[in-house]
Amino acid sequence: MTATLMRPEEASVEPYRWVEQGDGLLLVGLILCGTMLTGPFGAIPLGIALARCYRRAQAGTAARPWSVTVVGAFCFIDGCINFIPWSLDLLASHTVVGHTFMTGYGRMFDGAYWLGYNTGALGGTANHTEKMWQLLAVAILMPMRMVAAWAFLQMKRWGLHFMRVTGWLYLMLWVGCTMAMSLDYQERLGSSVYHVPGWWIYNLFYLSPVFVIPFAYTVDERYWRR
Amino acid sequence: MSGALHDAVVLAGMAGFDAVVVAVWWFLCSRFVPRDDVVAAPPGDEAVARSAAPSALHRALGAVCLVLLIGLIVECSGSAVWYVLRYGFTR
Repeated sequence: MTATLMRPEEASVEPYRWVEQGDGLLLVGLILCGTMLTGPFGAIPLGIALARCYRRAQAGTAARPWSVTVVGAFCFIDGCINFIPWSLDLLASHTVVGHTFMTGYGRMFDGAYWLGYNTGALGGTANHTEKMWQLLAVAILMPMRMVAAWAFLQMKRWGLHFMRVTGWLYLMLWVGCTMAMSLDYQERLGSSVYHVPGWWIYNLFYLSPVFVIPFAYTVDERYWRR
Repeated sequence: MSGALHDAVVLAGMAGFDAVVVAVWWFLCSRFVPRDDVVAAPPGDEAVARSAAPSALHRALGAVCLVLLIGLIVECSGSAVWYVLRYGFTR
């Protein structure tokens, strides 16, 4: 694929709301999918928006490289998937929706979201370490990741900057969460239905820092000038 | 009915809180990095060709991220449905 994009200096001044036509539909699809609760409804607009972006990239009329669209969308939905369900556990764990979703995940993949659920001081998972990571993620990392990803898609300079920052923060989250899970193995992976393989199959798709950090540091920064 | 109403109020409150948190971070992040208002000198033809064509690394990373994105979309679309089908609604 040889996309002929506009020159970087042309990508700066913006009279339009979004960088690409159809970015509104992309945003709707990303948010609906990212809630996980309305995931099936989000897949359709998201698929349509991505297909349109791809066709524009193939036709050479795209203002944004296809790889940037993919990476930005991936990071946004990754952030949203962690933000909304963890918000559910933190703030809405006693609702039917919150309890069903979180304990369903807990029974299958991570026993901390099933054993002793809603017996802790803040509700939701009673595992203190997991609750700590939740608070950090919901209050700081994931909303920052989401806004950074959207600003990155909109070719804003600060979007690129915070994609890099949140990439490193996300790596720290990964190391911390994996370590905590290993130390609490019996309660967490050991008591779930699918154990270690299930956890990795489910969470492998969240490995964004490994790929997005090198991507974010090797892009042509001149395109991010809005 | 009161249970459903209670849940609706809690979920609306959660959604409102999340929206505020995201708005605060958008406000903060958008003001930390100044816009680059200086127009760079037009790059030479060689630089334009190099910057317009995605590098092999970007193509590879883009392909991997596309696979991961598709996996996340599948997860998002199926997880909640799977839990409900397997365990039903719980409280």
